[in-house]
Amino acid sequence: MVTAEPGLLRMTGRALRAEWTKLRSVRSSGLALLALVALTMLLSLVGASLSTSNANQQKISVDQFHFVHQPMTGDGTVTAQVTAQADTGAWAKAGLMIKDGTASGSSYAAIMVTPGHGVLMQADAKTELTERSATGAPWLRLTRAGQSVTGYESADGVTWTTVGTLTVTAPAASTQAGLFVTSPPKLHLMGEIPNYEPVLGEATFKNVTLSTAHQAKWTDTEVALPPAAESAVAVGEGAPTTPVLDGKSTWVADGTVTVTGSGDIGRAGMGGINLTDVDRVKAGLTGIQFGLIGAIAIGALFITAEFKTRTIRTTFVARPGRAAVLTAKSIVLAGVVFLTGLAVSVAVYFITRPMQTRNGYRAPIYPQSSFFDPAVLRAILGASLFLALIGLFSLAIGTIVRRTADAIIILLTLLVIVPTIAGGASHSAYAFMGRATPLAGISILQTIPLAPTSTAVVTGTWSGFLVLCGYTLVALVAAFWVLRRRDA
Amino acid sequence: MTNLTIEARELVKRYGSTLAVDRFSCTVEAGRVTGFVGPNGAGKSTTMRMMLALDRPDGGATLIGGKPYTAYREPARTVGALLDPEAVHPGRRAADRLLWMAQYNGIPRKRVNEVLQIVGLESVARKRVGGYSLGMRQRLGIAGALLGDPGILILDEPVNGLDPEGIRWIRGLLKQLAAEGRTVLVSSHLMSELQDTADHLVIMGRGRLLADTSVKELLDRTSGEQVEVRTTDRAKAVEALTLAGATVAVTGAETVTVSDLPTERVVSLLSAAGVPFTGIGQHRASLEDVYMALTREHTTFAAAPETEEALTW
Repeated sequence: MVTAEPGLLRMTGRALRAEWTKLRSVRSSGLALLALVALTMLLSLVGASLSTSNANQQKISVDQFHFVHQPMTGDGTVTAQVTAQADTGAWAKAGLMIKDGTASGSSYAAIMVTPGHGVLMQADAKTELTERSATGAPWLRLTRAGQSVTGYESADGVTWTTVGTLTVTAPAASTQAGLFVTSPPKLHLMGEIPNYEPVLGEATFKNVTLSTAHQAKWTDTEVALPPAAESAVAVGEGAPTTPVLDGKSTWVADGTVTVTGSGDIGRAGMGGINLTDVDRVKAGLTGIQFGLIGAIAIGALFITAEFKTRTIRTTFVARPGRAAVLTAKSIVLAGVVFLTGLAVSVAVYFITRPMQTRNGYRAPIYPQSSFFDPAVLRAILGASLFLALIGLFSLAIGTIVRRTADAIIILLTLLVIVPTIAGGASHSAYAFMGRATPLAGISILQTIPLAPTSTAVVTGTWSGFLVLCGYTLVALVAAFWVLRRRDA
Repeated sequence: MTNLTIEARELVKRYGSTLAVDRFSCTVEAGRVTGFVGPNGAGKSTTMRMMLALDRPDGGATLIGGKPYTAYREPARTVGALLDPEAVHPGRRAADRLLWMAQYNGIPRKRVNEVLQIVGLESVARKRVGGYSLGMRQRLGIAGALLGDPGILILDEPVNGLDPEGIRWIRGLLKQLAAEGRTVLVSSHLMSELQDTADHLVIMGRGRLLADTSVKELLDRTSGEQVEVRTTDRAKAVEALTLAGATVAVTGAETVTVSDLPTERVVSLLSAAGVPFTGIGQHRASLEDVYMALTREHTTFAAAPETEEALTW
């Protein structure tokens, strides 16, 4: 009885069923998946219960910049054209400001341009208006009428568009008005500890006019927090405060002035300022960095156990097509790890969210995430995909080195031990781990892009994940190659 | 008629500087048990692995049923193989091991129970293989080879580890399979294991083919007419017989073995020469003797203990 040869589809189906039978019929698979679930849960729950925040009780504002100003008593208008702004960061700020004196933290209203986010208007680190502006060298104007300040922008200094009107508390008597420049520091995360590298922003202004011109000279002031004040606490972790570089202003005869300055204005959630711990979804899912040990174990063992027991020969006798065998293994493994990862990620998300809220991570600084928010879904599915890819990477390494112990040691060193040490060693090493090793894939967990520019997110949400995909692909190609060439 | 032969053509396999298989050719026919014998390290297992496309030959080729093993999409339906009974995951249940092998070849699940019954393991089918004795693992391996009801069986040392009852069982099974018209290739490093089972012998030594012959032919060819003479005057006996054109070998202090002369002629020659002799008898070589003679110079590990044997007994 000769039946027709089975087609590719049926052959693949058979291979998948056979490899699934193999995977489910040994205890080590279950143990590895249990380790994946337990370690993910453990680290996530410990993290969620130990980390607390009182940011909402504090004044998480920052008010540091270089100010070139004159007194402006009562109502008045200040106007200037920003002819150039150095791109020292997407949230570098340059513009006009009316402020109650020159002390950091006092009432203010400001309109500004940024290299990456258009025109912003702020008042008292409480309110903010944003306007995407496409003009190359925009004109800005700030007009005070009582406690209301209205901001305008213009492409030519003739036709003006209203950006908006904000209310300030600054008393009319002691107001200073003028130009300001600031640029937020770069954030380097070493583990969860932020380090700030100050950045000096620069902008060039032209046609600077003050309606209530009292012919007073322009004064330069470095608006910064007094070193010993409540600042360190008040500004809170994550908000860029120190150190600050001193700025200056340089006037040219034709009235052009170049101003440099460092720092930021606004508060957490405004003007691109975020606390480093604002991404609570990512923080909640952090356990997968431990859970991946389970993915490593099941991925490597799935093939190294066959080499060790020489079952691999029985496999290749049953199916001489070796590529088909490894393909089936890959699909079965990825599916199993993905589904397990998905189950634990969803569970971890719903368990840690209320824990975080109880521990002070609540709105307004930490807005509650929603499960169906695309970024949250992406993080949860991404965590599962991350684990599946780590499993596949481990399968490939296991295929290449064949010995269980060798494979596990290599993988644990590469994916767990070195990153842990690097995280505590230097921020460049940590940044490298997060950018150029398979662990870059963890970037898929980001739900809130951190700003100011930080090394923690030098990999975009997807670009870091693609790095992991690349590693996995290369390892798998090598695994296919050696498996087909070597004697079994 | 389906081609059920196993063919090796000029097979060569090197491991570094060692030539494990050296231009080995043979054809294994259907309908009989072919014993594949040779000392340890002769290259039998390597040859079998090359037949199953597990090892890549450095030269030559093997064909199973007229085509390379890799050409089979459902190989278990044509070829059943047992290579190493210890090559099992100890944590897996016997039934699951057979199940995945069956699934790869599109063999229905109920066949797993059938082969477990054939080898007598149905009562321990749900036990993890780690707890199996070597004999039980051997039976499990045979069950795996029988899964696809194949026309060709390739079994590497299947008798190893079986108890006497098991040995009798497997001999019966092999004969039955051959009687059903299947090709049965069974390797062993002990001729005694196969002499009552095999119809045909392929003898291998140091990677080379030493003989490809039926059991009967081999016995006839080598034993010939041999006469053993017990004498107190060895030298004189040798002289008298050699003069008559016989080949004489001194096989003991008082014995010589004479080839190529019938017994009567030996008696008359010795009597004529006045050589005293106390005994005379026909000597018939056992298969074991023939095998030992054939492989003596082709033994790789002559002085080494036979580790596989140690496992067996």
